[in-house]
Amino acid sequence: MSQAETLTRKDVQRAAWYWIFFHHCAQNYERMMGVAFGSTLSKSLEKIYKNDKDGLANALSRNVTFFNTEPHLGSVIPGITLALEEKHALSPETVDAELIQSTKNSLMGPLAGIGDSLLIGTINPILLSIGIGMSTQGSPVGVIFFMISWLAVTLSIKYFFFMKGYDLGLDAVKMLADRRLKYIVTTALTIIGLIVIGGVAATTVKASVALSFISGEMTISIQEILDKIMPSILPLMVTLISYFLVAKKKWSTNKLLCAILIFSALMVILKVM
Amino acid sequence: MLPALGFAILLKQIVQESWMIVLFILGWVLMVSVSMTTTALVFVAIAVAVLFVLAKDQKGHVVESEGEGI
Repeated sequence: MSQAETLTRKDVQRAAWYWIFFHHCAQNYERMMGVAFGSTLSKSLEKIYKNDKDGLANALSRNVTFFNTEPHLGSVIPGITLALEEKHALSPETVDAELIQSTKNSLMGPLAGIGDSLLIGTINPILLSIGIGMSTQGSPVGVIFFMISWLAVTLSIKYFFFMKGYDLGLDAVKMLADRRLKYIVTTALTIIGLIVIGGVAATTVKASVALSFISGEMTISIQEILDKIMPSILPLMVTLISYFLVAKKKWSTNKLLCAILIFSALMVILKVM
Repeated sequence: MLPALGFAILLKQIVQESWMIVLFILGWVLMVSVSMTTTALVFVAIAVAVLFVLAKDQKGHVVESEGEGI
């Protein structure tokens, strides 16, 4: 073994930026994000194994294996791996190659689960719904708001988690494997997401009844009666029935799409809606 | 009417247990009855989430691992 060099802060930062911009480059079904993962670490590995060609070859082939996670929260994994690789080069007996691999593999699953529900499933819809709310009158502010806020959230999360991952090294494994913390975070965000989506759906889904009975002087509008029970009770029913059909009756999206179109057309022809 | 389809698909992905649909209805009803903004609704949602987590925590609930997809 040659003398291994330790990484400076700048090297880690460079790897972090590489991950931020290229975490999905050369993605394929065989290795998913494996190639991007390897290339993220490559510059640092080249520095670590400057005079050790075999070591570099091993380290690189170790890091282009199958890897798939949610890239934002998941950026903690290349950070941790970088720290472990550095330690491995310094003292192979404390951190062996097996440990690096298993750390990577055990973290990518849970982080993909948390990250997808947290960022893609919750924060993204929340930001989108705020943006859509701003743009209902046709103003472009909502679009700009979404682009800026989403980039601000993801870029800072990716950079922060990469650097934190490197700092924490093995400690991060313990922290993120804490089942209770993970449970709290995911449940809380599921609840927030559901309530907010309920609010967004209320302003987006529209349905009304045009039918009214006329008897002599008096006109009884069905819509007015429904509004007295609860405002927009009809769209809520439509949404819940759609959800029921998709989730419980296992209807395909296309089937429901056709059903809604036919139902709407029929109702309009019959002058009910 | 067609947005209902989009929300049905979204709900299918998010709702893990059937009772959670109540939260969706809560958000809906708050929005149309109180006519608050989405941002205001976020704070209500945060309060509900905090209450839920605290209540669950107090029971000393043992958390079972849930299936995680990649």
